[in-house]
Amino acid sequence: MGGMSLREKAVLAAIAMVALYALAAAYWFMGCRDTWADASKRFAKAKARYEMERKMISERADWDERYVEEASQIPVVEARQGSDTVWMGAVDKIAAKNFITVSDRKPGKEEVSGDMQKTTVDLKWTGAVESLVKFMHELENTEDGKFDVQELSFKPGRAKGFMSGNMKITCIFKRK
Amino acid sequence: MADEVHIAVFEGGDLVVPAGAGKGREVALALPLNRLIVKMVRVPAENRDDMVGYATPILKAMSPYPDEQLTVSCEVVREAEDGTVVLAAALPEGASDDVASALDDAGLNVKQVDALALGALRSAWPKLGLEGGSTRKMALFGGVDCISLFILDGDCPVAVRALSPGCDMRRELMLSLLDAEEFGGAAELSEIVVFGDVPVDGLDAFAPVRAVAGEGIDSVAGVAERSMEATSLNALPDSWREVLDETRFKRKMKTWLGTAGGVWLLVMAVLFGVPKAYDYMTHRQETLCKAHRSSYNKVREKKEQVEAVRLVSNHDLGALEALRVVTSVLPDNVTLKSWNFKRGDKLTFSGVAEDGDQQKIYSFKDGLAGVMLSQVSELEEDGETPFFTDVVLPSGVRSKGSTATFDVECDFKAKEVE
Repeated sequence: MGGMSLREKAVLAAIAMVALYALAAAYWFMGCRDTWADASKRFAKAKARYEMERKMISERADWDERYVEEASQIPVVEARQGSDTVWMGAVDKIAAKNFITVSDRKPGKEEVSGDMQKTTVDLKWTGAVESLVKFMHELENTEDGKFDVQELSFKPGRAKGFMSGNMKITCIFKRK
Repeated sequence: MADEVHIAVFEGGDLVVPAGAGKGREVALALPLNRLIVKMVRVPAENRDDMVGYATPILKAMSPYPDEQLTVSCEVVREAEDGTVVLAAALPEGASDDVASALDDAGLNVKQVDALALGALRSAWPKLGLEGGSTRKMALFGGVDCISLFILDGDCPVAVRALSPGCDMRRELMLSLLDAEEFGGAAELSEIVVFGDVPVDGLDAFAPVRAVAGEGIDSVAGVAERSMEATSLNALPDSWREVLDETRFKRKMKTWLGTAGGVWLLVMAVLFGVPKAYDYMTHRQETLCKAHRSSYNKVREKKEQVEAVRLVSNHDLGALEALRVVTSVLPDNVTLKSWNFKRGDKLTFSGVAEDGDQQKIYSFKDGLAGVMLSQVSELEEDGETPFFTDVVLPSGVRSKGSTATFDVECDFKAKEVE
């Protein structure tokens, strides 16, 4: 550097500066742009989540009110009563009433959500299509419980006009 | 030249730096007259375009350093038909090493060199009593380094000399008058005007002597005033000018590099900083979420409970409705062979057309796709939402003897009540 003229130093400095700007441009095109986009997306996601949560918190009274309204329809069982005995019994009763033969039944696990509980009953059944329709209709409309058919599969059975298959019934309830 | 000029004065071997002229500043340098080679030169009309070229050999002949390249500057004093009267001056570098060292020590860059005595003359001009007259007068300015002598014919200088303090004044005045006579012709000296500390003994033999009090004579102000004029003297040596140009270039380069470097740093700071800023803001949002997490979880739990109850209570997309919808559009002579329903997810079933009519199966598939949720649900009013989001025949319709078999997949996804 000592032997360089001032003009040469100036040219060298200009080249170095151009190289620095090229480096900045290269950095932008070789990863920085994606880093920006990723960071921006993360922020947008976090912001949207915060806004959504804030909105939901602001609707707290509304959801409380809706819950009170909906909860009034949920059946209540005794604290120590087994849900399997209660709901499988009820399902059996409705099935028998509608000429559906239940050959096997299995209670599912209870899930607790606040003061509300949910369980399932798996059935193996046989019956006519008309009986099946009546059975499901009564299940959905009975006042003895809150039932919904979650899964239903069947195919023609051995006897003519009869179907056999599986069914998973969901029921919700509260305990005293 | 329009900007304010700082004047540095080198007098008595010391450099007097003006206030505010820090290192790297450009100044005009005022030197005592004895530091410069000065001479009044009459440039013939034919040399008017190259006055410096004409004056240079004249000043070079006066230089105590004959081998040194002189940088001569000319200040036009009077324009006449027979020629131009100029004040030619040069600063011999060989005699200004001490000045250069002092300037280097002070870190000043000189852009103009002028004679301090010319500033004094400018400042003292009103006191010379030159109004309306063309008589020959002599002005003497006392100084630390020398006595500056000007002989003027009216307002035109005809002789300029620097006299050493302690010299034989009568002899020097006589020589100066001879110079003036040689340059401007014979004329009687009408007055000697003395400014400052000048020994005047015996001078009244030449002409009446008038001593003027030093107050009001500001040589530096005079130089400053002169430096604002583009045509004033500038005895800056070429080598000093090269240093000045180099310094200016360096300064420009530093400024340019500083600006370009600063902008680059800013660009890099933005490139690296923006993701950091986003990360900070993301972290801030997450902190805010964390702060209300407990409240949010309570509401979310309540919402899930409401939705769970509604899901069980609302059978619009339930197993029975799905069975009813499919059978309502099932064509004659088509029998279902299997049925597999999963709430909120998918319904798949297979069947057989006893008469082998494939078109019937495709129409059946289109019929299923055309069933609207509003046909089965009292809650749905817009009539634009289909019961199934998608209906497909994944393996088409297959012919089997005189019959046609098929499988249908119906999607429910994104249908359940939020």
